[in-house]
Amino acid sequence: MTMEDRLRRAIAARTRSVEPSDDGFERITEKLLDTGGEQMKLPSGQTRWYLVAAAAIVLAGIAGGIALAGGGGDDDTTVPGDQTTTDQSRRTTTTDSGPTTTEAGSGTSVTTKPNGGNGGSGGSTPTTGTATGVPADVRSQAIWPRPSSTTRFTDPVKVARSYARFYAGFADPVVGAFRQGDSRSGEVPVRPKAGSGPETTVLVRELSDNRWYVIGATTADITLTTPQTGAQITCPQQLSGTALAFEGTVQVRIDAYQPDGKRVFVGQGFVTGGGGPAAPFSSKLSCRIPSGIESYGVVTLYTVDETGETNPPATWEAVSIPVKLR
Amino acid sequence: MMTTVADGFELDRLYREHYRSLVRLASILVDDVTTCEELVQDAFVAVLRRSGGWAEADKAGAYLRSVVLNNARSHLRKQQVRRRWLRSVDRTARPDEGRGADSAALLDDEASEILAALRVLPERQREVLALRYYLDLSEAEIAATLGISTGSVKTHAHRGLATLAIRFADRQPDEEGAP
Repeated sequence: MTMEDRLRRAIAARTRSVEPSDDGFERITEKLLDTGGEQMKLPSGQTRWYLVAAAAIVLAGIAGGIALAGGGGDDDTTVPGDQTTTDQSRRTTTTDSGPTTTEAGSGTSVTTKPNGGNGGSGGSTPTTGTATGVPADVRSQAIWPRPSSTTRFTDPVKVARSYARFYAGFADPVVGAFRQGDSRSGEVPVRPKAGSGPETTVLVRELSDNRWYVIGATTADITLTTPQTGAQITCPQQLSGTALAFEGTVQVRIDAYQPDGKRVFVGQGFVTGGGGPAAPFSSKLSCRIPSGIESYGVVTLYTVDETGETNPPATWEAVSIPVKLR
Repeated sequence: MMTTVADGFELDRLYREHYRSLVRLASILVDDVTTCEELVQDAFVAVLRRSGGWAEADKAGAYLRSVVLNNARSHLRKQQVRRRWLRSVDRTARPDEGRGADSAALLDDEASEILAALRVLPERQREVLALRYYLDLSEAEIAATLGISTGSVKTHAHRGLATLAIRFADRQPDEEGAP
């Protein structure tokens, strides 16, 4: 055996024994966002580091919101430390305290304890904070609160506010009155600030567990035609529609969730519509659907506040739809 | 306007095509696999930031290899400095202190020894040998990856192999390839 053969054999033995961990993709995307404050040259030749930075900040804010609110703590009725939550540490607290259902103020959020299948009405002690026995319509339609969380809302305005603040990344959303649709659904207008900014129409519905959920969000400035609500996501995912935004730039992200409620990154990028008037966009977003996630995720397109009045830039308007991931 | 950055958003494809092989490439030079992953992740970030986003995706594979080797080289140099410093302050420390157990635990004796010998070759020699005997790159491809001439590739490969051959000349494995 020649030295070359022996070296080749040694290298093969070494490399065969090395199997990277499965979070590499997520780590890279995190690092990309972490370094977003530095200039990132884009194919168009433009530098939009601030948008990348903004995306990172918004995502960080959202992640923080999820950690704090655990799926939709209602900041209207509680201070952060008192929120009815689904975050792991507070789940444990709730579990230890014994209540199976907690009304957090009149007509506001409800934290239900998982109890092995009946959505929180039983008296057995749960072992985790993960909601079980969630109805199929909640799993497939609910964007917020997450089906896997234990936070629930009995007020459509409160759930819309929670979505705007903790999911979509509005800094201080101005939430309007509930506009009734049919007996179990309606819309709630949300603006980024009082008296100005575009309206994001948050679509809410009372699902079969008699709790209110955000099932979508739309704006006049961003229309998403592909994918459509409930569509199966395939990577790379085609994105098309029309948009009107500052420099035409609209951020995109696809979120998945683990059964414990942890958000998992599926894909992130941005599309370019028109800076005025609105213009179509059509592109493919690279993504990766990890294993062990809930069947449904969320596609969100959003713009950030370019006025410089919020630091870091908060969400200005948002479109969200539920999608099928697996 | 129909243009988007996402059109060139090739991270997913790059990841699936290159990530594992790059971690394995790094693992020939660097013992700790977690460190190898970090080096490769950093390479992805660097390439994606420098290459105009995603526009030059076709060239990204070669670029990634190059950056991974640069990162590995940089890491090893820092590690070397650290070890020297550790030895200077602690005379009981052994020269290989700090080396992970990844390779030793999983490889047979000869493979482990050859790998260890490869890792103490001069930088260019070990990189040329890693690229040739793991990725089976041509001399031209290796030259492009390392930014050297094909003549230098031949020289480094020859010298590296010669050093290893001398080192292991008296330890020929049996016909089955066992140590």
